[in-house]
Amino acid sequence: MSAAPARSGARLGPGELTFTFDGRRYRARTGDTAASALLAQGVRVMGRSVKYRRLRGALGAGAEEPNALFSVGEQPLLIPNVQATRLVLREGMSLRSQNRWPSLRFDLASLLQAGGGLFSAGFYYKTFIWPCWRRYEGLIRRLAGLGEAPRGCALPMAAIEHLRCDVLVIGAGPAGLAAARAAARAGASVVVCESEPACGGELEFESALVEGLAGAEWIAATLAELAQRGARILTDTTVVTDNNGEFIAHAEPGGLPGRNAVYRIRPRSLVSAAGALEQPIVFTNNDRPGVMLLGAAERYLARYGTRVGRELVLFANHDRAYASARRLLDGGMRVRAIVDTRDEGTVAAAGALAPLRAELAAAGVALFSGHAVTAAVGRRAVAAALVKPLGTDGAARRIACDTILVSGGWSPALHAGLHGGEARAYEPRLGAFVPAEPPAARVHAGGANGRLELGAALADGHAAGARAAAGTGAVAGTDGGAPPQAQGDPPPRLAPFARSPCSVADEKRQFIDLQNDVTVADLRVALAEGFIDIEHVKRYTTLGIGTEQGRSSAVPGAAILAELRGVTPADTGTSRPRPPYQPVTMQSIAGFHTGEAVMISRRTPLHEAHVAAGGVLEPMGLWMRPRYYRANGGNAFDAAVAEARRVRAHGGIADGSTLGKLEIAGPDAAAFLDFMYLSKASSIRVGRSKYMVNLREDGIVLDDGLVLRLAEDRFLATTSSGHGTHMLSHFEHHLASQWSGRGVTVTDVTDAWAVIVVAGPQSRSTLAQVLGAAWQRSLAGLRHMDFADGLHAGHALRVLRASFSGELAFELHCRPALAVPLWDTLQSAGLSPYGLEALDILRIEKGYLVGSELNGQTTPLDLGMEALVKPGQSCLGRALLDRPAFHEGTRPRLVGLRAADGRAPLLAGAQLTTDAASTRPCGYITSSAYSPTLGEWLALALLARDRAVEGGTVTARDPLRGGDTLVRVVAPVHFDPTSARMKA
Amino acid sequence: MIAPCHIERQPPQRLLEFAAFRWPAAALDGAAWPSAPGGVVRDEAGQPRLLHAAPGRWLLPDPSEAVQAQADAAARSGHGAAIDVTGQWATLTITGAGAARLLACAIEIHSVLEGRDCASVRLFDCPAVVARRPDGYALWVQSSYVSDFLATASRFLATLQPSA
Repeated sequence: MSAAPARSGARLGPGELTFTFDGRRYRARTGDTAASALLAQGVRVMGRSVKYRRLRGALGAGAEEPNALFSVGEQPLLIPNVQATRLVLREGMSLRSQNRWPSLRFDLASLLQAGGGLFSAGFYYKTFIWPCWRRYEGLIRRLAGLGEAPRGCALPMAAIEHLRCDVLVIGAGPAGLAAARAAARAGASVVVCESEPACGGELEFESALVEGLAGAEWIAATLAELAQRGARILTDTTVVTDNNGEFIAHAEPGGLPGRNAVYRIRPRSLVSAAGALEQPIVFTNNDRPGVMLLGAAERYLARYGTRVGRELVLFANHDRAYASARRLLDGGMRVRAIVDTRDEGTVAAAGALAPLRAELAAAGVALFSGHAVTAAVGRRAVAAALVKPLGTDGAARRIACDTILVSGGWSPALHAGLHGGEARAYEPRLGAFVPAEPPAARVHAGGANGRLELGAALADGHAAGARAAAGTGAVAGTDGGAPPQAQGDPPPRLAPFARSPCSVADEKRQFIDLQNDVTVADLRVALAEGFIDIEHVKRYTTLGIGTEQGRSSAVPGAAILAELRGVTPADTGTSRPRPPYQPVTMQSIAGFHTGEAVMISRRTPLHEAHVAAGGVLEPMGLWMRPRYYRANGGNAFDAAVAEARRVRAHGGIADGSTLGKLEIAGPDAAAFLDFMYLSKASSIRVGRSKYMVNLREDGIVLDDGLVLRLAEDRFLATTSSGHGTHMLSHFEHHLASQWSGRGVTVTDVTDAWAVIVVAGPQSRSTLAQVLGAAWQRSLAGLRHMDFADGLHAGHALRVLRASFSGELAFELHCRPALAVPLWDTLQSAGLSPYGLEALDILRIEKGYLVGSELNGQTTPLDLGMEALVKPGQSCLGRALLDRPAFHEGTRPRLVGLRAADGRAPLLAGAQLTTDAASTRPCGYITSSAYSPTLGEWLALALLARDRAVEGGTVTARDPLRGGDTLVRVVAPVHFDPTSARMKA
Repeated sequence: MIAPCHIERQPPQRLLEFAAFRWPAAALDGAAWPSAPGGVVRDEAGQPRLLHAAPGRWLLPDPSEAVQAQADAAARSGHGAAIDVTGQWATLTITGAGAARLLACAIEIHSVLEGRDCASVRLFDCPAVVARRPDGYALWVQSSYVSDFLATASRFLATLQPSA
């Protein structure tokens, strides 16, 4: 184990801990990130690149990191692709590098580097096409980069909070804090989201005075005031996307998925103050471990006391590099040189810089103006920088160093706004893109608005906060006061510079997008092949895809593309980043829809009774319904056959509570139903019910069910179980659109009535016994489709004589409170429950539609319901039922099928062909069952009308499950065609 | 950790719905019913008794004889229909200082109830009517969903506890 050097930093705690990286133990301080601890102990190689498997180290110090992605933990709970720069270490944490095999030091696939020239943009598209790309898929997947997905799923559910506020401030840097304070002072309710664990941004380490206070003191004072004014500060929380005015923020404390939280925030106004992202400069081998962003080095030093290297070369295009060099020198690192791309005249034009430059020169720092670092030297990590004058053929100098710190300027962090398509404009002063004409109720401030000087950023934030609060109409609390005055770094005076000159051959090692291994050469190939637009270039080369999303590649990418095209970055623009801004775990996206709760389920009042009776429940739509009962057989087939046989022989009970139930009331109820159904509801007498069919507007059958007339002005319509909610919407739509103001209402009473089906030859006698003398006369007098209302045990009870099994049967409609007692009593009286499988058998035997026949393509004529279709009907969908196409011979027709040999199983889904030689289907089996009553398999099918001749034969083809079966076409009603049993 | 929060399922109660044929239903104003959606009439204890839960649709939990008589009279005079929906909704209460935070897992309750006292909503994918009550919120969750509703609410409550 390496010894952890003594360090002091703003984010370090007093404790120590140990962790492992690729099996080796390291020490760290509490508060350390994986990157800060490893860098402090001299570990610079943290992974390999995704395509060429080149060695990579940390480029940044936070969310911008493209390289240092680790896998945390062990399978089956391995968490991949965690940014080492955000991961706060915990005791015993086990970390692994990625994109390498067998080890980080030696990786077999890195031999591909030898063929680096081959793997240019479009390589995969052009190469792996013969004879079929699938041939290569396995190999490519094995070589594919990034981490291994966890095999288990044990992350806890993310917390969710819906929030509303007057002003949402994205970012708690100087501008964000100033904005939040101004808004809060104006009386606005404020929420601040900060992706870092602590607030303050660069004030954390810049030696600046704000309102007379040191940076850290001003941060603390501002946070205290915000808390006192009721503002919510959410740290470790990144706004990842803008969902049409609802901002989704994702909290991942410690940078590791675990106790995540999702905030869905609806602000009246937004202040985008997410700062600006430091941009790299592209040069040859700029991906070597040891090449790092200049600002990142300062963060490591200030926050963790980590020195990223011993011998530094700074490479920049602005004044800030000199102040940074001073701080790094003070931090104990040796700055060998500052390489400034601007010419000496430009650099010297800022007189205020002269003393600092003189001081640095005196401290031994070599100052180069009008120069560039053209290459990093070193096999496994930076060993030296090659420095050349720009614009002349001067010789390259080799400056020995272990670290090259780069700063090519700053790009406003606009991602949360850009997801909504917000416009950007190129700002030559910054060499970056700034927000242009933000939509109403959105204000950009500080670095996100291109204000890079502390004083300007604070003033901008202050003004933005006040403007945002005013836009919400918040009642003014106190005056926001004067904008904070600050004394910090002077303006950077930046001169855009995207890449150092090099030979065309070296462009293969000039990396623009480090995460996706996209080089300048790739852009050149894309252009040569006609991909000119930045969005096309992105897709062809993978520039800025994945989690990188252009954070450090968009601006250099645009500038280099512009250079290669001979235009300006304003002409190329940048590609549009996609949400989320930061990776979000699937667990957070899923919310509570995980495990058994992946879909909400509905339960009937008899749910527990089914479970107690050994019912095997399965979801049918949203409903949990008993498929069969274990007591009746060891598997679904045996149990269902036993249950169906028992219903035909004696009787049984089933739970029909899932039927949709709509109560239609009012003087115009009958007329409304006459419009909604194919048959007339107005002809139903009170106390009677009728089987009715709904059509869609285009004449296709939508649903079927019974309609009961409860009173002259009141009906109960039942729908199939899965269609209840849809039918309610369907009814309400037509009620609102065509029947508005008429005397009719529709009310969902599905859950108000439990339904117990009592079916079988003994159903009437058992009911008489269970319901007692008060119901004797009613039961005896009920004809098929009659119903009677009364009381049982003091509760309302409706007994409807109707059958979906072909047996004498009754439906008991009762309030949920009566369902379980009634169910228990019926069982005690000798009736056993049967499940859905048995019900399907009974229905298919009797030729009743099972459900799959209503497939959104069938008309009443297809389903053999000619008796319901009459001339002169004016109900919904009736007119289009007369379309000639619905009467052609190719239309399907509901038929019954039986195996020609009387034995072969028939399976739903099998395709029907005219004979075994034909491959063109003329229909298919919609439902099938083994009939214990008839001793053979029965099926219902939709068969082309011109083939649907009873007595004919067709072939049922089911190559995956059962092969070919010759089947006979028969009438759909297989059992009791006269319905003598049902009407007994 | 959030402030204490209790979810309780209340005993079954008689429930009536009144649906107006036309809305706004001026003739119902005389019945002292809340005419604007979101309006609630409360009893002496502050409990909701008459909720204008959706435009032209009122939920009447445990209706008093007087309220029942008003509904019947309104129906007789052709303004709408009263439907007995006992059993359609399960009655729950969420009480305690943390009640709003629990609901915030599904909706931003302050926005939903802004300028009103009750609303028809979906909570954790479950149809529900929510109303303010003196110590928190009253909920009527569609009965077949209530089991999953309670399970989901419990899972969210767990996310609000401090980490181990």
